[in-house]
Amino acid sequence: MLAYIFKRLAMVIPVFLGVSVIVFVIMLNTPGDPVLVRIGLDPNVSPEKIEAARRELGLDQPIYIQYFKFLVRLVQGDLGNNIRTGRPVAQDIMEAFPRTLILAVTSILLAIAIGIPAGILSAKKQYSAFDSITSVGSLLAASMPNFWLALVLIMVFSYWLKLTPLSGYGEPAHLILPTIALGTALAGTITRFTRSNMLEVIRQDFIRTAKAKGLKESVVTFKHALKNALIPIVTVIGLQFGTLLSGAFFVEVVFAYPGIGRLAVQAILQKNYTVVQGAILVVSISFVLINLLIDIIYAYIDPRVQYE
Amino acid sequence: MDKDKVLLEVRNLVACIETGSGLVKAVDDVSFDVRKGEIVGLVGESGCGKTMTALSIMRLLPEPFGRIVGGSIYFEGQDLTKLTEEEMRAIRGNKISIIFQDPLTALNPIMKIGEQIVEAIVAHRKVDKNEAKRRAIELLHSVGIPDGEVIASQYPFRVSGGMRQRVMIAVALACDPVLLIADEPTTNLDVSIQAQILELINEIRRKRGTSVLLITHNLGLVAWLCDRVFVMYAGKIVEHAPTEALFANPYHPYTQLLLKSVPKLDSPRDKLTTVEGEVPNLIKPPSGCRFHPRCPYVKEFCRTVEPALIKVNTDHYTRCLMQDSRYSGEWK
Amino acid sequence: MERKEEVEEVPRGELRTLLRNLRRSRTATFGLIYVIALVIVAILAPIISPFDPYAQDLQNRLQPPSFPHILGLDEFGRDVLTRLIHGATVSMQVGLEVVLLSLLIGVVVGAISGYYGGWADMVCMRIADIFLAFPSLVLAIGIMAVLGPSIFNVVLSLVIVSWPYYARVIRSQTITLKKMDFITAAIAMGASKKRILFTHIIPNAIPPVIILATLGMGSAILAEAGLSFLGLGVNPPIPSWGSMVASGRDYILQAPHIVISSGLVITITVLAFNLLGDGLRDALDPRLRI
Repeated sequence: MLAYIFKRLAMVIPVFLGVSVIVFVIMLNTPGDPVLVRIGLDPNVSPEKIEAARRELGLDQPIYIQYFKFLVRLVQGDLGNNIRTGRPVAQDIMEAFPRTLILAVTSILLAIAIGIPAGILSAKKQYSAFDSITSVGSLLAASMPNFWLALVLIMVFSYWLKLTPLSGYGEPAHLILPTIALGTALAGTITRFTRSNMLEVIRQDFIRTAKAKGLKESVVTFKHALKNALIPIVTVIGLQFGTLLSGAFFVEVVFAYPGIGRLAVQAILQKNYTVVQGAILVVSISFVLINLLIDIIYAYIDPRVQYE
Repeated sequence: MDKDKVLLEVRNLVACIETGSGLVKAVDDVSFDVRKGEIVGLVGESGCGKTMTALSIMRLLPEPFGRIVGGSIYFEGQDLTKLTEEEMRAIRGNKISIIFQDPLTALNPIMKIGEQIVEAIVAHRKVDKNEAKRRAIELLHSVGIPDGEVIASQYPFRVSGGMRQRVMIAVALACDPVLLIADEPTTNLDVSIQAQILELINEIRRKRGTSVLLITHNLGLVAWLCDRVFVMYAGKIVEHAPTEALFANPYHPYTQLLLKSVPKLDSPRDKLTTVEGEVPNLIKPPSGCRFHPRCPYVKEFCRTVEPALIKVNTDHYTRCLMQDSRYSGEWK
Repeated sequence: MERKEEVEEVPRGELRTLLRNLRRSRTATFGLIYVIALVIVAILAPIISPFDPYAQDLQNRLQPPSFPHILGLDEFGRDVLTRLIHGATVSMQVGLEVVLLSLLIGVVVGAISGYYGGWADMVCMRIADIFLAFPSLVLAIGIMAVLGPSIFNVVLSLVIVSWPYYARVIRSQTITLKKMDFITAAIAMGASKKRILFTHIIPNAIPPVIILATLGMGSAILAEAGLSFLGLGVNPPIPSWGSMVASGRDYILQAPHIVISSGLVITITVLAFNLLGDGLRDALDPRLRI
């Protein structure tokens, strides 16, 4: 088990490097002069000030040095400074990212709470009306743009029914609509996935053996079928986590939820590129780490994986 | 016939499967019995309905496609076809056990071997976990796995095919059933292992008095292991007799061809005999005698008249018009 | 020998059977019809739209659905239905370009990677892994932030983000096919590696690719809508469903018809592609053929 963990950790490092290179390359190409963003668009600003700002931002050095310095700072946790406010980007991110993670977690929980039971029921009642409705419904959920769903939810629940707050952050109530908006698509995906996996597993021989042993129906369904069917669900959640994080960008914008998504999008519109860079880096690296975690959990649940 | 020595009696069983192309009568008016301490063989080509018969006895036909449509299955004074699911559950794995052809897919891949045996025990016996574990290891020993403790903590994919089949047998024997159904237990195994598993089954009958219903297409196994044989074709029993009688004097043309097609080492090396033709379509089975399209002795009336089982000797019956006194003259 | 012919026939004579299988599913049929209709609408947009998508009528801005403006007017007095129709052209164009380009790159990389294996395989897959390490839209957003909104940039960023998925699938298909008996037979007959790759492997790897491409259209359209919603996609005033949702958002209380109609169109379009893709997947599944 430990050997597997180390092996996976080793494979992750070149990926981290690659991610940092790509983000760096992207940020090199930002339009506009970050110097101007830093000191404002005052036409009368002195050349010395421009030069000083340039040096301050480290833009006077060759690219590979800039990358190397970038990497070094990255490893130390220094993501540069917010071009507009001067605050360390890392600080902004440390404030915003946990909020996004909370939203992501509640969305996953909602999606699982709806998706897995719906999937199991559809599989057990295959060919029934429930199954058909659930099939189309889950696909519909996965096809809806989350930003649109967010808007519709706000319109109905916050404006018309006045049940939920309009936007912001602070109380649990603020999480309700964003969670629904973000989690619905994932719920649809999980439903479909659980259903198709259960159907496949139910057909397998060892289920027949379990019944032949005289085990109770519930034991066969949950202990034997579900456990086997759920294994890949762990992977699906990992894969979908990326979509979830991306989706958070949209949902946070609509709800003015102060997570890393809203931070990044606002930064883009304000041309605050250090923040954008930091946000993309943090989101991507977390994604890689989460996938690593998922892989390890998967190896723990399915003993066959380690021996491949 | 000593009536109370009969353990299982299948009478006129009819079972159907719904396929995309139509309704298949996989088991068509099948009757046989298994007596205490006996090993009975159910023989036939693939697709003839033998596995369906076994699943019908256990009431494990794939729902919703498979159903028992008629007939009865008497076991310990009860008709299994009339029992509720709860009552049936109490019998499965407890009084009647079944082992399947492919132990790799038949065992849960993510559950340790020991746990799978313990589960079978605990389902029907009130024992605590530790006692169940002890019994599980004992069972592994009894099926010829000396290092039971080590194997019990392994996953199925980590042990060899032969050992997996032994594990399946251990699972089946967990509650000391009176009847063991073995559906092609050795087909997927190497020849050398096959002999060991068969010997194990024999030993189970000898030491525990367990009756066995052996389902196979391999006549060699039947000759070696079975006391009586039922030959199935296209969903029907076409001949049955005690083993020696069947091999010495096969009456049904299908049985004869089956026997001839097993090449013997000591016979002269001429052409291999085959059974001509293809496995019959069970959605629209052949009219009259089901075997008539492939029978070397076929006559006109074979196409229209369905033969009944006719006694040809003590305990020896066959379903062929050649033995029917009304028609047998045609073959003189 | 017979087996080889059997498998080789799979991609070609199967179109009629495929359509027959598809028609068995009502949802897949709906998907197919909708997609075909959408393609027609997208191509004929300038001809069939009732009004000019850029013509403004500020006096009547935000007018709710009524005759002759069946879906009402937007914040600049432009006809919503017309803009939706032209938005279809944009969506289909972006979707098609993204899918085809990603497929092209994916097939080349995946097939070479899977077939030749070894060093080339390792390098290609590491590169793909690096791109896959980013949550897709996040990377696309980053790229668009830097490049600026335009249809070309949208396609570029989405292709950069999607090609690894296609490459991975093709690669694993190639690896599976490589091991099959009919390939060994071809090698035994003296066929060269390149010839095997092109005449045997690639044609047989196509069915799952079709499914992937169909579903890919759905996600590309959804992605473009999202980018445009954030202002990072298609540049105004070119109509895009996503940007219509964004601009309609400001008037969501007085004129909900803009947001609702544009979002609904996105949803149904993506749903249609998903239903079609699902239907194709079931139709091509050999296990379901009786």
